[in-house]
Order: sequence, then C-alpha cells, then structure tokens
Amino acid sequence: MIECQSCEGDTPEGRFCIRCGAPLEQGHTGRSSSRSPYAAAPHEHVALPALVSSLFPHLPRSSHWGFRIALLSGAGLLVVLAVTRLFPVGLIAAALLLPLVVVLYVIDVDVYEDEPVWAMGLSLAWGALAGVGFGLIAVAVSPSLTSVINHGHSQYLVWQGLVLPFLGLLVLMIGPLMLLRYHRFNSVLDGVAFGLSAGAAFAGGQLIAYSAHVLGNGIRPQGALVPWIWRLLSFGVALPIVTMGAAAAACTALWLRYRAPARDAEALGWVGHPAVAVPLAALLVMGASVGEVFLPSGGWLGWLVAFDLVVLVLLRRAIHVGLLEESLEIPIGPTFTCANCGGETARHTFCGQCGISLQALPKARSEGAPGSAGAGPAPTITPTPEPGT
Amino acid sequence: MSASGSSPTAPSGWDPHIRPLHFRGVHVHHHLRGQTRGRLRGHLVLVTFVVALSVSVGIGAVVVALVAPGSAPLCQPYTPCGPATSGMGLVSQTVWRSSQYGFTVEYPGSALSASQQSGSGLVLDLQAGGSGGTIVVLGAPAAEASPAKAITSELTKLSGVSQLAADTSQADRLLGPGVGYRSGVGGVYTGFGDASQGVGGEQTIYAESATDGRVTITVLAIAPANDAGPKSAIAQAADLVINSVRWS
Repeated sequence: MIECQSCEGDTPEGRFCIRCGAPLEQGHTGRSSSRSPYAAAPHEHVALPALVSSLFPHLPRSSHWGFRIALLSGAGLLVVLAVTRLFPVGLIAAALLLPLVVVLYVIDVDVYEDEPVWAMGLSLAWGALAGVGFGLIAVAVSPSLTSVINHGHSQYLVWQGLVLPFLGLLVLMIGPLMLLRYHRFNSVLDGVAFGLSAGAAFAGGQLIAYSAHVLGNGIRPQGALVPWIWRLLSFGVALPIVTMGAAAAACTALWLRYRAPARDAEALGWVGHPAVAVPLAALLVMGASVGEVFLPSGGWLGWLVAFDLVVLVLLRRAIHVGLLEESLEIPIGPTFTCANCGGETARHTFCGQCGISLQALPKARSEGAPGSAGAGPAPTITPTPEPGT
Repeated sequence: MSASGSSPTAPSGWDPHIRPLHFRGVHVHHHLRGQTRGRLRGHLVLVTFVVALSVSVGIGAVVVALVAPGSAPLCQPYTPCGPATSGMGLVSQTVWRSSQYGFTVEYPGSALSASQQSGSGLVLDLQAGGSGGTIVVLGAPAAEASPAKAITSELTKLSGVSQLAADTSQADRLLGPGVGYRSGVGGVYTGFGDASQGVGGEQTIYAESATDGRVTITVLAIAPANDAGPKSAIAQAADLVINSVRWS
C-alpha cells in the first residue's frame, strides 16, 4: 500500500489510485479531476469529443466499436434511403436511429438491472411525448411560405429557431427531474442515462410529429437529392446528438449536485448550478436550431456538427468531474479482473491499472453471474452527507 | 443505478433507523460493476441493432405505402376529368406599373392583394376560398438575366423552402410557357418547408419567364402542394396575371 498524493488515502501500488482515480506514476498532485485520461474511457483524453465514449459512458473499451459501427451504419442507411428517394422512410429511420441505439445501450450495460424498467421507460416516454407535443406546436405556429416571402424570417427565427428549441429542452428535462427525487438513482451516470434517453426520444418524436404530412405524400415524393441527404443526416444524427448531449450534461450537473455521493458536489463550479446548467443546455439546443433559419441544408449540417463537438466536450467534462468526485466511502475489496483493461485491480471506485471509474462499466446480473466470480461480498456503505446540511 | 433495497451500514454514532434528510449515496450494488463487458457483446449489439432498425423501418415503409395517395386516373377525351375548375368571376382589374421597367400587370383585386411592391416588381397574395398562395412578378434587365437564368436566380433566392427540385410528373408539366404572350421558359418545382423541428409541408412552385430583349419578366406562383394543380385557384390566378402583362 502507498499513500495517494491526491486524496491521501491508502491505495495498492499501480498506475491509478483506486479511491480517487488520480495517476500515481506521474507525480500527479492536486485533485484527481485534473488528470487528462477521461474517467469513463481512460484511453482517451478528457477533451477529445469522441461520440461513443461521451454519449455512452458505461461502455467498456471493447464495446465501443460495436456502437460506432451501429451509428455509422445507421447514418449510412439514411444516405442510402435518400439516394433511393425513399424520403419518408428515411425520415422514419432518422427518428428511430438514436432512440434505438440508446435502448441497446441501456440493455447492454444493464443500466437498470433489477431496478424497475419504469425509470428508463418514463424518460423515453416523457421525451417522446414532449417531442410530439412540440412538433405539433411547431406545425401550428409555422408561418406559411407566403408569410416568409412577405415578412422574411422573423417569425421563423422567433418560434422555430429560438422559442421552441429553448422551451423544448426545458420541458424534456422534466422527465429526468422527476427521477432526481429517487435516492436509488444516485450516480451521475444515472442522470446521464436519463438525459440521453429523454433527449433521443424527444428528437425522434418531434421529427415524426412535424413531418407527419410528408409521410402521406407517397413513398417516393419529389425533391432534390443532395439537400435530402443533408436533412436526413441533420435530423437523424447531428441534431439529436446536440439535444441528447445538452440534456445529459444538464442532468450530470444536477445529479452531481443533488444526488451522487460526491466529495465535492460543487466541483463543476457555477456552470454546475441548476440555474445555469439547464438554461445553458437549452441555449446550446437553441443555438444549434437557429442555424437552420439562415443556412442551406449542407451548411446547417456543418453548423450542427460544430455544436455536437462543443456539447460532447461539455458533457465529457461534466461526466469526468462527476465520476472523479464520486469516491465511495468503502473499504478496499478483493482483487478482480477489470472488464475494461483486463488487468487485476483491487475493488474500490477506480481500476488501479487503467484508471476507469468502475461506475462507468456494465453491471453484472448478480454476484454469481459469469464474469463476476470473485466479486466478494457487498461492501459496507457510508452515506455522504448533503453539503450544507 | 443502484438499488437501495438493503440497509447500508451506518457509521458509528449514526442511528441506523433514522435516515438523514438528504441521504445521497447508497451504492449497494456498485460491486457488480466492472467485471463484465456487457450483456450484448459487440456482434450481438450489431445483430440486434440491424434487426430492430430493419423491422422498425420496414413497418414504417408499409405504413407510408398504405397511406400514400393513389395515382390520378388518366383523362379520356371528351369526358370531364380531374377536379372542377376553380371559378374566378369577372371583376374589374387593378393595374400596376413597374416604375423601373415600364411593364404593366393587371390582377383581380377581389382575389389578389399586393403585399409588396418595388420599382421592379410586386408580390400578390391569393385568398380564394380555403386556398392560399403567392404570386411574385419581377423584372430584370435582359442583359443581366436570360429567362432561364432569371428563374434559377429567383428560385435560389426563395426563402423558407428547401429540397427544391423540378417536378418531373407529365401531368404537372407546363405547356407553352411564356409571359405577356411572349414565348419563354418555365417549369414546375416542388420543395419542402424549412424548420429545425422537421421537414415542413410540400410546396409547389410554377415558374415562367420571358424577355422582349430589353427586360426579362419572371413570374413565380407558389402554393402548398395540396392547394396546387392544373385547375387550382393559384394556377388560374397565375394564368390571369401572366397573360395580363403588357411589355410597355
């Protein structure tokens, strides 16, 4: 055992402190959250806007490729459907793509395990309902082309670009916020999962509700090919990523502050305050949407990708800080094989070999399940008191 | 997520039966994380994804095919065909003159109202029964824009509609396009409304342009697709306006 320079706790010799995740080999001092390897995927830098490890932080490294291929093949399908002029079918695929990947993620990493499925169902259902509602509102307030020709973009800008995207994110956050009161959902990654699922379902529901009349135009309506490709990629991939990432980042801040067993619930600073985090997330979605008013289809896709990168970096930073602040007050457990790196590590909060937060890995079905041998008995838990109480 | 089903061991001096007001961390099952690579290994993720997406998209395709409008029956000679012609009564015409190029346009003031005017053109809004639409009349120096170029330029400038493409349907083709009884070029285009929430309603655009060698006049008639068609109010009104153009 050696003493960690960061948390001053005892930790087995290795590359990372198993209590706080601070690097042990590089003379790291100060808080562990200042380390550069991302807490949910230590082989990546915390500032790298990698899609899979940011949106799906529970995945071990070996599972990243499967989700990457799924996302790429989904985007490829959208392009194929556009090229074959099956535009309405492409819209359906665009609406379903990311919600489907999120459901696969939830099942794969066993986010809810023996917890009631209602929690994830509530997030998805609330997101979808809110999305459908906002899609219908958008249809109702959408100005006619005559109005746009006569009065310019002002009405579009106000409603489609500013008001509805901003309010949409605030309303979709109500679903995850309903779950914040349950103590069982006590990790920042719970908040991430709820935000992601609500955001993906919202984007899909809104797209279907707003575009419903296009679905009735026949299976191969007229339309220019290239703009359709850009639009399907925007609605199926780029825009949902902004919505999901912004909602998840806001949820991360809320969970870190009010629910997770964090050493410092205010580690995200003023950005983590709910009064800042939630409107900031809504502003990001609004900024992404407003580009559509001024830019052509291809330009808007590029605009969305830029917002995707910003949102992913913010989300990643929030997850990183949240996980590294989630140090469990438990005794050091028996050694086991880390599912991320395959190295032997003593059980605590982080893997001593790769530095991944063990909270950011899939859950075994039970202690007797394959792959969970040697888990040992459940350790004793010490609750972390609420700051200021 | 972690269950709170079992009681955590409390620190010394803590009454185990009384929970603090803000009881935050209870990672009872945290020891189950970190040892498994997930329920679906890589290949199963892909197989499940492909199957689920294929089934969902397949069902969607069937629904779209079922609700698709049927193709209009072919017209037969000497028998009534298609929807009834939208009637537009004989009314006194309002005359508008271009101060920049000198051409005039006449339009029925009871059905069309000028919402924008400039020296080179005007925008007319159609309100006929339940259908609406817009007619744009624009002049430009012939040296700067040929009729074909003028149409392309005006379509590019059109805001609020994207995915614009020529309507290739034979039934919708413009026959003998022209403006003010001068032969020109023209076509029918379709596009979809813009919005960040999704793809908006389908729009139909009739475009015709002609030149007298001095000025090129372009007329666009725009309406939602379900308000457009050969016998629609927008097409009738556009015909009236196009035929009323006098080159000065």
